Order: sequence, then C-alpha cells, then structure tokens
Amino acid sequence: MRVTDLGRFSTIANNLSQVTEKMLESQDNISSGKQVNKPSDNPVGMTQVLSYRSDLASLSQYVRNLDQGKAFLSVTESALNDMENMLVNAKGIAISQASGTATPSSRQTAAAQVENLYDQAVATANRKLGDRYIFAGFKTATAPFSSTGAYNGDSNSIDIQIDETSRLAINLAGDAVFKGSNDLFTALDGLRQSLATNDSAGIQNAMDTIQAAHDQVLANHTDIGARMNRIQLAQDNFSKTEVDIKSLVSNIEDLDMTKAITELTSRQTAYQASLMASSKIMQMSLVNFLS
Amino acid sequence: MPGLIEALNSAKLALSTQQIGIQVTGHNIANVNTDGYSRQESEMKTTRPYSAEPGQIGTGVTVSQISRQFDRFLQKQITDVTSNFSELDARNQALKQVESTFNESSGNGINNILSEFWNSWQDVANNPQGASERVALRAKAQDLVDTFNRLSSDLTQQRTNADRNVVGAVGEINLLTSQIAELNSKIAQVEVGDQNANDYRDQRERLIQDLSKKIDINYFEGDNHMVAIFAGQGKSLVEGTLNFNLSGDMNTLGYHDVMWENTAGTKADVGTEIQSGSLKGFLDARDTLIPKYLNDLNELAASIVIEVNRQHEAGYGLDGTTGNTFFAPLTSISTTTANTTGLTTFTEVDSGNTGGATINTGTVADRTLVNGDDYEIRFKSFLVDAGNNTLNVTTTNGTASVTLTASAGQTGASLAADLQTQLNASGVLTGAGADTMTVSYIPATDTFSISINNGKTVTINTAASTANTLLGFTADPAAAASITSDSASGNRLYDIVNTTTGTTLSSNASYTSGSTITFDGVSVIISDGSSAPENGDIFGIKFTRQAAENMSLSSDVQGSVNKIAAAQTSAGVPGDNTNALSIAALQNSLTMEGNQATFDTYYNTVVGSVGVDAQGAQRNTDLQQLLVNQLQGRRDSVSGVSLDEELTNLIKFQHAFQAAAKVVTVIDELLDTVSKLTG
Repeated sequence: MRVTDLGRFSTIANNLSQVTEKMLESQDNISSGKQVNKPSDNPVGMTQVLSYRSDLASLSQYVRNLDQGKAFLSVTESALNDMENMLVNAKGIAISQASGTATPSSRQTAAAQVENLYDQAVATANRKLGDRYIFAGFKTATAPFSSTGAYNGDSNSIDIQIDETSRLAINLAGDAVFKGSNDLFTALDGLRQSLATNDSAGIQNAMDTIQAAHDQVLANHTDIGARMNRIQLAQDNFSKTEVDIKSLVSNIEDLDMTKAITELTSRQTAYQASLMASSKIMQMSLVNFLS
Repeated sequence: MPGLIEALNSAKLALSTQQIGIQVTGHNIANVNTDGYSRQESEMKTTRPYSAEPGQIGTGVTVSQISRQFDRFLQKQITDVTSNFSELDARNQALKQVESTFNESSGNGINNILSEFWNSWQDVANNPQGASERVALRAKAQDLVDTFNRLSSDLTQQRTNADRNVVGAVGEINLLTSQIAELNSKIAQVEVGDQNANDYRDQRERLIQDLSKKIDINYFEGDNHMVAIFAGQGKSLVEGTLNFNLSGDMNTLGYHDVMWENTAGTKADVGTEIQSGSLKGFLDARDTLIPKYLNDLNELAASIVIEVNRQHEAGYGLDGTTGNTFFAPLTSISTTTANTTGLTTFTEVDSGNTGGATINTGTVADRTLVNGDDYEIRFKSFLVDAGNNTLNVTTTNGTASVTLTASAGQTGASLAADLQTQLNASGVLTGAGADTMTVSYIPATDTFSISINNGKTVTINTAASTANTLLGFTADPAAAASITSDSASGNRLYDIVNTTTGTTLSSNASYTSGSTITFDGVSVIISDGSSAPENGDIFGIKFTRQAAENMSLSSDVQGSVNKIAAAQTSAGVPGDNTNALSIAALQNSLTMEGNQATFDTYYNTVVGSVGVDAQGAQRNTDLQQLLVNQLQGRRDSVSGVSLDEELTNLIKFQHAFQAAAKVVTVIDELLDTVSKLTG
C-alpha cells in the first residue's frame, strides 16, 4: 500500500484525538466523582437513579411529617398529663372533704380551689401548638372550650402522611377526651357545687365521676403513647431505608476511584506513547537525507 | 535520415520532457497538503520512429498526457458514506442538545422540582393554617411551572435552530451545485481537445463530496465530461451547465419545507425524498426527534395541570371559597359554567386530509372524565348497510339490479368505480348497443351520479332500490326520476382513538355532518365543509398541545395563598388538611399512560429514552466516522502525494535531464568536429 503524507498525518491526528478524548473522559469522571454524568452514559441507571432520588425526597418529607406529628402529639401528651394531675388533685380534695372532719368552711375553701382547677382545666383543654388549638378537630383557629365547658370544635381527625400509603391521626378531638360519657368539666363543676353547698353525698358522687373522667383521659393518653411509638418506629425504619437507597444510588452513580485513576494512568501512558511514536514518524522524510 | 541533427533533436525533446516531469513533480509537492488533490503523473512515451537502414530508429521522448491518480468507484463510496455520516452527525448533535435539556444529573430538573412540589403539599397538610407553608408551596409550584416553561422553550428553540440549519443547508447546496455547474462548463471546454482538466476535476470531486455531506446524491459523468447530479429519489440538481435550486418555503407551522423547482418554475416538496446527508438529519431533528420529546413533556404538563386542578377544585380554601383552579386551565378560552371551567381543547384538521370537512373548537362536557390525553377521529370507509344495498336502474336498454358491497377503506371514488364495473357487467344494459354506464362521485355535494352514453337515459327505480336514498344517487339529468336526497354523509364510519394510550374508544361509529361527537368528557362537532370527510381523514383533539409552554399558576392562587384548597369542607375549618393530602397523594397515583404510570415514572422513562437515543446516535456516528476514515485513507493511498516518492522522482528526472544535456554537449562537440572537417 502506498503511504502518502496527507494520509500519514491525518492518521496521526485521528489517533491522537481518539486517545485524548478517552483521557479527557477519564478526567471528567474523576473530577465529578460520578460515572453517570448524563443520561446517555447509562440510560437504565439514570432512570433508576431518578426514581431513587424521588424516593429519597419522599422519605425526607415523611421524616419531616413525622417530626411535625411528634411535636403535635407531645404537646397533646403534656396537656393530658397536666389534666390528669389536676383530676388527681380534684379527687384528693374530694376525698379529704368527704371525711367527717371536713367543715362547711373548709369545704368553702376547697370549692374555691376546685374552681381554680376548673379554670386551669379549660385553659389546658384550649392548649395551642403555635397558633393551632390542638383539641379543636379541624377548627384549629377557634378555642374549642368555652368557660362553661361547652365544646366548639369538631370531631375530625387531622392526618399526616407517614409513608406512601398510610396516614396517622395526630390529634385528639377535645369532646371525646374531656367530654363524652364522662364529662370532666361537669364532674369538676359538680364537685365545686357539692363543696359549696356542703353536700356530702354529692362530694362522694363527685369522687366517682372525677375518677371516671380521669380514666377517660388516661385511656386517650395511652392511645397517644401508642402513636408516638409508631412514629418512632417509622423514623427508625426510614433512616435504615435511606441508607439503603443512598448506597443503591451510589452503586450506580459513583465512580470507583481506584479503577478510574488506574484507567486514567493507563490512558495517559497510551497518550504519551502515541505522542512519542508520532514525533518519530513525523520527522522521517527523504528530505533529511538529500543534500 | 540518421544523423547528428536527429540526435540533437531527440536530446532537445528529452530535455523538455524531463522538465515537464520536474514541473509535475513540483506541482505534486506544492499540493501535498491540498484537500482533495489527486497526484498527477506525466506519462512519457517514445516519439514516432522512422524507418531506415538497418531498421527503425527512435526519435526521442514526449509526454503523452498528464494523468491524475484517481479511483472513481472509491470516490462514489466515499460520497455515500459521507452522506450517511453527516446525517448521523447532525442527529447526534441535535440529541446532545436535547440530552442537555433533560440533564437531571445536577438535580435541578423536573424530577427534583416535582418531588419538592409534592412535598410542599404535605407541608401544607402538616399545617394547613400556616401562611408560610402556603407561600412556600406557591413558590415551589412557580418553580415547577418555570421549569416546564424553560424546558419547552429550550426544545422549541432547538427546533428553530434545526430549521435554521435546514435553510442554511439549502443555501449551501445551491451554492455548491452552481459551482459544480460552472466547473462542468470549464472542464468541458478544456477537455474538448485531448487535454485532461486535472485540477478542475479535483475541485469538482471535492465540491461533489461537500454536496454529499448535505444531501444524498447520485451522479455520473456524461460523454461531454460534465457530471449530472441527482438528489435522493431522482430530482435533478445539476445537469450540464445548469443547476436546479432548492428553496426553503415557510409552512403553516412556521418551519421551512424543502422545495425543488423544475425548469417550468413549478415547486415540489422534496422533504420526504431526502434519505441522508446533514439536511436529512436536520429535518429529522426538527420534525421527529425534538417534537417527540416536546410531546412527552406536554403530556406530563397537561396531566399534572388536569389532575391537580381536578382535586383542587373539589376542595376549599382558607377563605372558604371552592372551585378554584390551582394551575391556569389548559388553553383557557371560555369559562361558561362551573362544570366546564376554562377547559377547551385544541382541535386540528390533519394536513393530509383529502375531504373538506371541518372541526370546531372542542369543549369539555364533563371535566371529571377529562384525562389530558390526545385523541384522533379517524375516518374510514363508506358504510353500505347490508339490508339496504340494492340499486335498481332502468335504461333504454333494459333494467339492471345490482347489490352494492363496500369493502373496508373504500372511498367515494373507488365505490363509484366498483359500481360502474358491476353495472356494466350486467348484460342487460350493454347487450343491445354496447352502451356503457358511467358512475361518478361528486365530492362537493357528496353524491353519486349515473349516466349512460349514446343519448340514452337512465332511471333509478326508487321502489326497487334501497341504496339510492342511502348514498344519494342522482341519475342522468334527462331521466324522469332523479334522486336528489343527500344523506350520504351519514354513511361514513369513523373510529375514535386515544393516541396517548393507543386505545380505540369507539369503532365504526356512523358520521352525520354537524352532530356532536362526545367521548371522555369532550365534545366536538365535525361538519361537511367544502366536502364531506373522506376515507383516511384525521381530526385531532389535543389537550397536550403547548401544555408545557403555557403552564402557569391560576390567577386565584397567584392572588391569594388562602385560595389554596387544603380543606375538604367549607369555611371555618382551618385545620382541615384532607384535600392537601389528596393532592399530595397524586404523586403516587397511576395517572399517566392510561393509568399505567405515575408522573415520576413517566418522566424518568422519558429521560431514559433520551439517554438511549443519545447513546445510540453517538455509537452510530462513531462507527460511521471509522468507515469514513477508512475510505478516506484508501483514497489518500491512491491519490495522495508521498513526498519521498516525489523526491525520488525529482532525482530521477534530474539525472535524465543531466544525461540529455550531456548528449547535447557531445553532439555539439561532434558537430564542431564535423565542421572542422569541412573547414
């Protein structure tokens, strides 16, 4: 085959540009740390990475939802705690004032104490997280309980999304917890009235109704505890899942550095070798030997 | 006569011949780096000898011709692969741009923004009363809208660029063909004698190769040394010293059709005839590749707008209002009743339609059924009812009764032709006087007419016919009973096809001009325009057209974040997040591709297919490049200049020249001797 100068030089140019391109590709990958830089690098991998990224974004949102839920539930829990303590107090007062040693005047004082407790109970039932009343159902902008213990909220449950398919209610509707069959406000008011009117039988009776109201709050408290547990479990699960997904993404996307650097080195060597060979070939000409 | 003078003459010839050799070598060396140059060679031959005693004596050397080293078959191959390579390269470049538009690796593409959008809905659900969550949601939604707008405008820009490239390529083709035509004339002039127009030929080959980069061509050289060049499927580009110009004519879409003009000045669209070359690549990018991705994007945008709006309108804002849209409705033209809030559809008449029917702007009859897919109403054949297919005609020659059958895909003209054959085959009519009946279809009135020659008349026997009223036959005007009723338009069949999912919603429905066609909550009206719809006519109903480009937030939501409908029940329940949760749940609903895919999976698949296409295009381009390089290498090997070779030749000619000079010197001395002899 005839070897011509134009052919020789364009072959050299083609070879050098091929080797350079490969070397630059290696360099690109190493500097970005990724082996999938654009969809065509690995179309299937890219599709998977995108769907994993959506999963990760959703996961972090679920975690955020759970945090919100947790905040709501813990405010609820502490309100219930306070409420239980008040009811225990009220029951203590009833027990002490039910005994024979109680006098009408001590009962009057106790009545004032109970009235105080009543006001505290209304305030507790109207507790807020931020600007939201937590026991009002959906009517979070209005105080759910009036000073007479009437309920102005509704019985709706506020749900949060805790994973792709399930939701969790984070609130307790005030009428179910504090009113319903064992109305806490009626019980307290009953005790106050019995104390004020020195009605021993009424005080005895109030002990039972307060106990019943207390039990009702406690039952709801237990329910809140169970929900908190569920949130905790879900959060633990999510952090595990997150690690798993991240490693899946990394497997597809990230570069094996050792391999990449070895490859770069070998490509550099190839480039240098091409340069050397080319410079030798390019110098060769009959011109050099003619005088 | 042998003698010294003859010898001197032959030495003189040798001197000038070797000089030409040196000159040609010098020309070769000078053009060692000229693209497309073919090495030239001075071919030497002995001059005519003369006869003498003891035999023929040579008279020297001369250059018979200066030839160029060239392989025309190789050149043809190069032309072909260059066309293919240029097409692939143009596609590859276009796909690279599309790919960079869809590049999600940086994490600010649609995939990411969509996730953030749905997450913002959950944030609102977590605190439906909070203004900051609502404002954040509106900002994210605006991001989403902006991203769709940007991607759509990027792709549209790429389409416009491809169109500019088409126009540019057309201009270059015209320049090249005019230059080739000019060279044709020069070469013919030079070669009219016995000369070789080597350098002009090199230039012409070079221009032809350049032309093949733009468009696929066939060419051959005629006896007059001129090449004739044909594009693609035989449209002449260069003929002798004439070139035929291509032109880019703006079409209704605002893009340029490639037109070829013949000598009479008639233009023909040759876009589909072009098979390769960069022009083909640009046309493909503009008309197929980019629109495909643009459609995908529009489909996604349309679905998001429709699904989110549907759920949003069912809910209540913090201000107690309901029925507000979240995104501006697609193509909002009318807002007549609550049930059709701002939803109209783009409708279009396919450019390939042969009938003259029109379609109105579609309206939405029931928004709950609308899913944002695209539809086509496709017309099929005439309907000939099995029970009403008798045609009974009487002519002066007798009476014939034929039964019509229409096969699938039959047009008016073909049905008329079938009828004519059937009628003429019935011996009654033709037996007496070899008369022939003519059945023709009149598109303007959508009727059929029957006539007979030889001044005879034809009558349709209405009592015995059923098909006449059905298909609106009219008999010969001279006939007594001509049927003029036109109910033929009721006898066309159409299918309604959801082109997004590929499902047929309704098959073989019967067409009546001007009546409402309703499907999937959409109502359109197709009416006979200049004529009725013909077999193969298509009417499109497009929800997705420009959806990504036009996507925006509704004025309600832009005006007040309190209109964002997080609640499911009316005013006074700021803690109600039910509707916000329902909207957030759309993220994982199978809303796309006929309830097969979520928004996310649909979009990811689009990105994947961009990747596959780009990868394939790059691979094919690389392979074709190898082929081009290989052939180019072979061409270089045949036609290229080797300096070593030329230098060797130079020395060869130098020595020959020196030797010839020596001969002159010797003869000079001899002549001197001879002159002294006589002196």
